[in-house]
Amino acid sequence: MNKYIVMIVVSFSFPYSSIYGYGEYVYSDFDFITDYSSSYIDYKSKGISNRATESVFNISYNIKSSSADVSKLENSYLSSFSFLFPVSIGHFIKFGVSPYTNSNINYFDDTYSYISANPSLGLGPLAFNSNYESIGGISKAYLNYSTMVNDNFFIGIEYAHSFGNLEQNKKIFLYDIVYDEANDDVLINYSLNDSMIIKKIHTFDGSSAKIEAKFRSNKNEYTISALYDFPLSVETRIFYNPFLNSSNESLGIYEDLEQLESALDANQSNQYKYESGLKNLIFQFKKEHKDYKYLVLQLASLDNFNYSASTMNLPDRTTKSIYLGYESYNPNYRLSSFEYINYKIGFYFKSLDYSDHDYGLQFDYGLNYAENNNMFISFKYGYQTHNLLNIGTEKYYFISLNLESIENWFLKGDY
Amino acid sequence: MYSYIKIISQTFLICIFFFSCENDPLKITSDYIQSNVETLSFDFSNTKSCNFQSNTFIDCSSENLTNIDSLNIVNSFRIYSGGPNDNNDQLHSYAVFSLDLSKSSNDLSCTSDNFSSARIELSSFNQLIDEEINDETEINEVLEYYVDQSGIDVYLGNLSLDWSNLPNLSLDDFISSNNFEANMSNANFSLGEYDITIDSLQNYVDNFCDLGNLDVLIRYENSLDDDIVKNYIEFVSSDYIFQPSQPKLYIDYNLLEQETVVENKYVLDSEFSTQLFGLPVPLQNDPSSSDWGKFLVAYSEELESGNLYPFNIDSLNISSPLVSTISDSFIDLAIGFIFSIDNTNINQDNFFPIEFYIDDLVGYVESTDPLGDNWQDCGSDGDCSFEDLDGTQGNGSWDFGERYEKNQVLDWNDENQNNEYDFGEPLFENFNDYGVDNCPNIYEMGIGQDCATEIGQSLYNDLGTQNNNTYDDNESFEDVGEDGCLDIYEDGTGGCLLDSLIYDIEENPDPNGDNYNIDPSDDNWNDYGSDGCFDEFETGDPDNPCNSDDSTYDEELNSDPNGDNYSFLDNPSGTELNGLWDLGELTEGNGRYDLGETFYDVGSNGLIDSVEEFPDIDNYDEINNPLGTEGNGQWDLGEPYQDYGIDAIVNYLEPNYNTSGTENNNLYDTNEPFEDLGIDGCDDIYETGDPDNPCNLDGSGYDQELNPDPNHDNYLVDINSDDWQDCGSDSDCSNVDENGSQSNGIWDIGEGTELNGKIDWVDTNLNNIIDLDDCLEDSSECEIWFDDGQDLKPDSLEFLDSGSFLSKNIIHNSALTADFHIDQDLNSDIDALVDDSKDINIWLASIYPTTENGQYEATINIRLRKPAKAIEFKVSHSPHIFLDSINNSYTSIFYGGSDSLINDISVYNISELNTMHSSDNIALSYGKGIKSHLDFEGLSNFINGDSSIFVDKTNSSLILYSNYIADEYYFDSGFADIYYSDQNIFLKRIYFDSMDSISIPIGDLMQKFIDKEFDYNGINLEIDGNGYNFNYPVFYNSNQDENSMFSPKLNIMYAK
Repeated sequence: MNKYIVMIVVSFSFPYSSIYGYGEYVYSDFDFITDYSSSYIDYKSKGISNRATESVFNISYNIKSSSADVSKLENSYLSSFSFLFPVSIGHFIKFGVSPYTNSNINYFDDTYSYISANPSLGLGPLAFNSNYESIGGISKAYLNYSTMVNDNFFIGIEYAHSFGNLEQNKKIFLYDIVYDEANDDVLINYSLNDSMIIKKIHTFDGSSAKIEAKFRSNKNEYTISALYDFPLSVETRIFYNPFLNSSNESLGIYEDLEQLESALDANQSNQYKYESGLKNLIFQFKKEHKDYKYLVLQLASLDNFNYSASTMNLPDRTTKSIYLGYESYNPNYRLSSFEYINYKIGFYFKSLDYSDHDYGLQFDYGLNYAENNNMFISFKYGYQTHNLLNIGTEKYYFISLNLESIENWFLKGDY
Repeated sequence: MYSYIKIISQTFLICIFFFSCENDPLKITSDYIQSNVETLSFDFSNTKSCNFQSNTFIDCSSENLTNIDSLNIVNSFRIYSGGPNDNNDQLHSYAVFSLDLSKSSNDLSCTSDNFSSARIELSSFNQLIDEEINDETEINEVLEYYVDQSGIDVYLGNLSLDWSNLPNLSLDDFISSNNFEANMSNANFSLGEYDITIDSLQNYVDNFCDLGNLDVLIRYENSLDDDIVKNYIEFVSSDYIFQPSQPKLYIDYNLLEQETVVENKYVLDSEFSTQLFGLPVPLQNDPSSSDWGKFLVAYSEELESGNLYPFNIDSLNISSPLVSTISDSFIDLAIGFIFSIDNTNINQDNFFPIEFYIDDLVGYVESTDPLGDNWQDCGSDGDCSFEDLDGTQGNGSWDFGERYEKNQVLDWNDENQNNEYDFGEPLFENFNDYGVDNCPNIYEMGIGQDCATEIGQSLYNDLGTQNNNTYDDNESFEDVGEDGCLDIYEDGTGGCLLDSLIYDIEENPDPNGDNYNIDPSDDNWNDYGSDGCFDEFETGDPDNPCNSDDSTYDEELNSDPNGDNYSFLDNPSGTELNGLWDLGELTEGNGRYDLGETFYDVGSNGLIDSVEEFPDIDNYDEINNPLGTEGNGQWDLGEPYQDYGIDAIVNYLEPNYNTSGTENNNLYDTNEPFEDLGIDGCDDIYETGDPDNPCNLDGSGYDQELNPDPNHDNYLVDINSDDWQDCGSDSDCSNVDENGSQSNGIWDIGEGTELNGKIDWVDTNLNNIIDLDDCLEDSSECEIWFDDGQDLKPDSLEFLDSGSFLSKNIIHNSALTADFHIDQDLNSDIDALVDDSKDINIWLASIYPTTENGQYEATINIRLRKPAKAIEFKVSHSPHIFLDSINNSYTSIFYGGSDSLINDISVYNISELNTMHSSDNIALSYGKGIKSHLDFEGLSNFINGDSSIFVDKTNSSLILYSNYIADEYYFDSGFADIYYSDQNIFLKRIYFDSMDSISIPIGDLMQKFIDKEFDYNGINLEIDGNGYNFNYPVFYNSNQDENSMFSPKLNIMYAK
């Protein structure tokens, strides 16, 4: 019996993208809802694969290293957590939690701006610069269902609840300007005068639905996936100087949101609701040119959040992307030893707003490293431009690790 | 191979899940991500601003500015009685305290018969009297009155007063509706230093605990013409935050309570028991003493004379042993004592039996050598029963191995075993290191004089500061530095010369570099005024205002000869100590630019071109921009400068700057010569003996013979001059001994003998042993030593050593008590319990009733088998433990504010704010309910504009300038707390002597306006009742054109 599994999770992690909108998008653009139901039938042998009795626990982790003209950045985080199980022949239910947007960046704009002296008020000239921090994002808890309408047509639907917090901190450092002379040059020294801390907390509440259809015709496979966002409510609370003790700034600020919310009321609070609309649309064409060898073309469009760009973040960007790839699967890799591997190789290009683009190569492979335990690793090497930032082109390396544990306890025997 | 890869990959996967990256902040710039920080200044709007006298803001454009129908000034921390000082009114205030006794009536203190008495204590901010405890009578005596006690009237009763509508209360209505002199009781009171107590309230009202309300009115009028007597009393109100200072009601009451009682079952009837050998035996019969029941059996003068305290054996002077010989094998002693039992107890459960036992028995042995350490010439083996073959036994002299006490030798550790005492060998026995005069310093009366017999007879004074060779405070010294010489004698290497060889006033003014100087150029700003000198150097002569030699300064009579001291009331134009730089004062650190100081010609905006957005705007150009301030070659307001004075050199770079110098640093330093006259600062001949005025040039107290040291400050510790000071064999420290005996650390012949750490003696018999035969002829050459043996105790005291105590057997002890029942006599049969091997057996032999009702006689028997010097023991028993109802006294304290028990107000007339006062200035007064409404042009639009503005707290402020010359200004003491009145938010505490301008941090308040937490309705200021209520600070508004520079300024720095 031919047995195979396709569970390569590729997550994109763009640290500099944390600066945009509500953070970077963490989405699995190659992971379709219908992948499991469509793999239930080994269409070459027309037999039933062993997946009918398998339940799958899946967890993945992303690591990224990127560098630009000004700095180098490392980032890592847990990117998905899910459980899938079959409910009947060709019908699967999956639930899980994963970040939808994620932000984790701390950056400092050390360029000074200046305020003129005002002697009548006893104020000398001042300078200031700022530090920005963005942590958190939107998470999704989802439940999806995929089914096999017939051997060649598969449908999947998904409902997701969006939630989470995004903290955006801005610290403005005010300095007294102190002039000094050296070698007939006037030097400027800066002596810290005061600091101003603005903490914005966005709290998200919303939902979305995704629908997918997959059609096979001979050796061709067509998949279309559409993500529709229902209204997303964003409550934004602003705290000014959330010091532990307002009379003693040296004590610092609240370390976490729970402490802050229990101790202080927000200075300002407002609510914004995004209208419902189509968020993401993906079309994939997959052609098998040899047994278990595929050519893949994927086109995708991602709409942006019409984020009211503030002085703390850049506006969210729409994305149009294309992916061309070659995939190879070994249907027996789980049964035997190490030399049986699956792999994919491809090229992607994304067109972003503000004339930015993101392109690169990606290579994925999967292996069975222990009985019922699979590991999938995705490597990516790419470039992304950030025309709104003065950092040049970002060059990044990306690794996504995905562990999959398969159990047969959930359903056994014939059904 | 495969298994290795599996292990490695699994380990890697596990690790990676615990791995998390941390990054330092990136450095990113973006034209799209920016912080905007801006400052805005708002002009004061005189037309929209005004003072008002109401609880709620009244539109300043309204003509109804004088509405005073409601003034919320009833929550003051201070309540006034009498005539408080204010700017112009002749106020007279009544202090009213209303006690809501219903709050206390449910308290335990006021239920049924518990109530005993009640009193009120009112604390005062101002001191009422000065009192001191009389050491003899231990009663407080009043030294000074600060109020006119006769002018205080305290009335108790009920007033007609609507506490819910106090803001509308008027003095006239209050007086007319309350004829308190007729309707209320005039109560007695007592004054403390800071409080008035009205005692025994129950004497003025009936059924105190049933009263619902009790009002206290205090009227005060000062009829004394004394400056120190105040015209008012400023009470602490119930709104004051510190509870113990609030008005208090004390209620004393009694409470019957069940308690576990532990008490003795009997009382000892007398200080003496029955006689023994014709002497009364004392016992401790004070039940509060820990020695209760203790007997001391001994012959001593103290016991015979009845001087029983302290009740310890070692404090007795025992005249003869209690039992010196025992003819038979033992002797029995019987000691009786009388005790009484309260008949009311005899029927109580568990009272009987009374379990007697004897405790703490000590038998003191009678012996000539209680510890057995006396010399007995038993030979080197120390055993008289064996004859020593070496001839040491019975040879009539002490030998090694024999005991030490009374061996007529000062015993020592013969470390080199040469049988001779060698200097440095340790001594076993004590000696008095008092010198060969055998008189300790503290008793010395002078060479050739007898030793004093008690402390105080001698002039010994180790605390004296005169002639103690140590610098003491108040002694004058030459501030020449640690080198010990003036500059002209310095040798350039830290030493001194006899002549001025190196010093040169121009080229080398400080050869040793030790001159303290923190302002070498002498250009530091000091606020001594335009005359250029502080008061101490002022002459009062306008032509020559400063001259230390001609100064007419006198601290009391002429404290400001040139009349230039600043006082905002009396001399507002004074330049000395006005906090400002004035012409004539120096320039470094004066807080202003002076010609010659280095400045940065960056323009009045303080920004250099490289950081300006539009650099050319302020750049000076003779033709195109002649008003430009940057680069115009002259200092402009706002340009940074270095406030180093006209020499443009900061102090520490000025030549000869020296903070560690010791010469001329106004501090005493080591090696500096000083006059060792003591802390009184004068020599004996000028001493008066009066601590308040210790020195007087007429030397009124000094007498060379009778009173050579009137102030008793001479340091005298060696009157007989016999202390060892390592001065060498010539005993003269000023003369260096060539034989090396001086300062060699050891005693040499010829040096003083007291405190030399060795015994001084003359080996008369030349046996190299210190023994009694030495110094027989001339004891003045030897120090006294004590032949007490190694225990260092003479025989007479050895009996107190526990090692000599008699062995004992206490038959009736805590485990085996002698039980006494009321209906049975006690007659102990103890024969079987006597231990004949013990020196003492003791037991309670019998108890019989006497002829007196409830009185009993007990007998203690002691069987002695050895002679005893004294015996002590204690008769104890198991106490009576029972539950009983005890009437305990308590005091409940009710605090005026915390318990909502007391309402209080000051009742006085308030004049209405007239229209002129409402607009002339910005005025604030709590006592008169005057608040101020401030508005600024454009401020409302700013607040209601961008809601995302974040106001900086540090750099946003409201600046007000005090108008001291305003008629209504009154603020000459204490402080005033300024609040934002609409929300009672504290803004600033100002003091009467604050700077002319006050900067009120306004950022928080502005933020609340912007956040819409508060509705903006002007900046409404008020003073709360924390400080003196009648302070009346006044600030300029922009009405006075000539003072427009003093117009209020509002500056807001904010970020988006």
